[in-house]
Amino acid sequence: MIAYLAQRFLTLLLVMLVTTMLIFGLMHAVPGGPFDQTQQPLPGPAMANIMHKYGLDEPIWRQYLNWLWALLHGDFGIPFEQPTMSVTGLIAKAWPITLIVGGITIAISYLGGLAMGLLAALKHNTWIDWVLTSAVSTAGVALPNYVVGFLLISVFSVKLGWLPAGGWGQPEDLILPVIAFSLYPMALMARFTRASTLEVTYADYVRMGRARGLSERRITLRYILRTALIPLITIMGPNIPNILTGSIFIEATFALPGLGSYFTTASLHRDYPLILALVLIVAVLWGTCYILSDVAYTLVDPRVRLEGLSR
Amino acid sequence: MTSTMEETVTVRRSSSSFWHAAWYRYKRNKLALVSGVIAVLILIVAALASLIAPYGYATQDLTQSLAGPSLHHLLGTDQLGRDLLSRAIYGARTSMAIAIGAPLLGAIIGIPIGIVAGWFGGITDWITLRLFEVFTMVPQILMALLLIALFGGGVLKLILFLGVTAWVGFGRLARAQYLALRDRDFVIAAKAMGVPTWRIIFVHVLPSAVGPMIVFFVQAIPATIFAAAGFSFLGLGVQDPLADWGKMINDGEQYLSVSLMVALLPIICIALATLTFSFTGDGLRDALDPTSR
Repeated sequence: MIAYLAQRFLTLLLVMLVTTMLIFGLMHAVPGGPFDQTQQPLPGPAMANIMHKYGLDEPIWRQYLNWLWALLHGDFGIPFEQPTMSVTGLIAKAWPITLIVGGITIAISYLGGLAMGLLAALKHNTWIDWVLTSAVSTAGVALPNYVVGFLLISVFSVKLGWLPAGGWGQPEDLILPVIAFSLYPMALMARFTRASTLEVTYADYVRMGRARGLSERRITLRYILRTALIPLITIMGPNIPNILTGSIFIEATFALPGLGSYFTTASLHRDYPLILALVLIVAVLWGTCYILSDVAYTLVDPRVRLEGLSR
Repeated sequence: MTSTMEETVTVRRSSSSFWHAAWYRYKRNKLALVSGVIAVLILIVAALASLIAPYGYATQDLTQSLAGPSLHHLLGTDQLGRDLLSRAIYGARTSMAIAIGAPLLGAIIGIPIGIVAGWFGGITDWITLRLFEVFTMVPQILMALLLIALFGGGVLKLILFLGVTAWVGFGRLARAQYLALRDRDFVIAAKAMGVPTWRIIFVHVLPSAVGPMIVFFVQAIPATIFAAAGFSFLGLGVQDPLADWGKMINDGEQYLSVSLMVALLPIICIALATLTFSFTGDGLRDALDPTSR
């Protein structure tokens, strides 16, 4: 297992090296630079000075190596837009916001979706199943989260004035973004839970358990739920980094100063160090989650063997 | 009674052909059937926007700004006095162009790469898998945002950027299909008879692999509508004076207290389009890919 993990993480490292190179090349391939101003162009020498200060006058490969070298020393550089801070400091300020919103979203949507899916499957073909399946899946799929957010703001902030329309600082600020953000993963979770639960509900070993006179509770929790959860790991696992790195749309709609909104502004202002740092965070989380969900799969389902591990 | 008879006959005949069986399965699913019809209607409206729309998308009448529904403007007007119904219709054209165009581009790039990787295996497959990993490292929305920020927005660029970030899904799917099919008996038989490789790939194997690809394509449409409307909603996608549902929500946001319709109409359009296309996709999945439940 350790050899397998080492091999996977080494490949991840290689892949990230290529990814950052591509992003780096892409950002520099477009004419113009972060300090171009249309309103009041800087005089030549001042421009040259700034370019020199940030190392932007060197050849691209040199700039990439400089960035990589600094990175290996734990230095992400200085964001062009806020030169008084470091990229690390900026992320340390922004990420907790995204993590809090994302964490609560995951908790609510995964547990809520699980409960709904399970309930719908256990009450298969009754009105409860029908309402849960059609209402939840339709509501979650019909509208993008930013439109749901927009509707929530217009009703609860503008019309009723109950909750803040956006911003960050007080606990009430969390409510609307979390609702808007949770709807889609909750619908997804409910749908997959229902499907995978239904698949095992009629399995022979469940009927056998009933025949042996086990309590309905024990059958549901130990026999049905445990098996039904297995496919959910691969489906819902890779969604976690997606939620934890924030949605650019949700953060823009609710004016949350999290990672997503920094990614938007950094891209628009060509803030190279900030973009690269954010890409790196997303990529590391993403890659790690993929590997972990593969490993988790083998732990819960002994029939599955990892490629390259079996012999 | 006669209708039952007819249906039985259809089943017998269709069992000989995969596509007939698929059409029969699809037809039985009423939700998918209705959604499919509406989806096709949306596409027709989008294609014929300039013939159907009563006004141009940029035709302004400032004396009529933010007017309510009337005989001249069936659904009212926006802040510049542009007819909302016409803008919703032209918005369908932009949204559908992107929602169809981007996955199509992704399929054109991804499927050949996936086929090559799945069919030939070995080092080709290894490199392709690493390539997939490189391009999934940064999620599609973030990559598209970066590209739009660097190169600018607009309909064609949205198609391009959402397309080049969508190819991995098609690539993975095609690879899995060809990997599963390449050792089947009919392929071995074709090889033994000396059929050229390209002919096996396209004539013998492709018909078996194309079903899931169609399903994947249709299921990618709602997600693309979301993404494209989202960028326009943020003011990064489709630019004035072109109409786009996401941008119409953005426009309507400021005038919410005066007219609800300006923002509500594009929201209804987005909901209708995404719902019909996702139900169509689900129906197609059940019809074309029976093994996937």
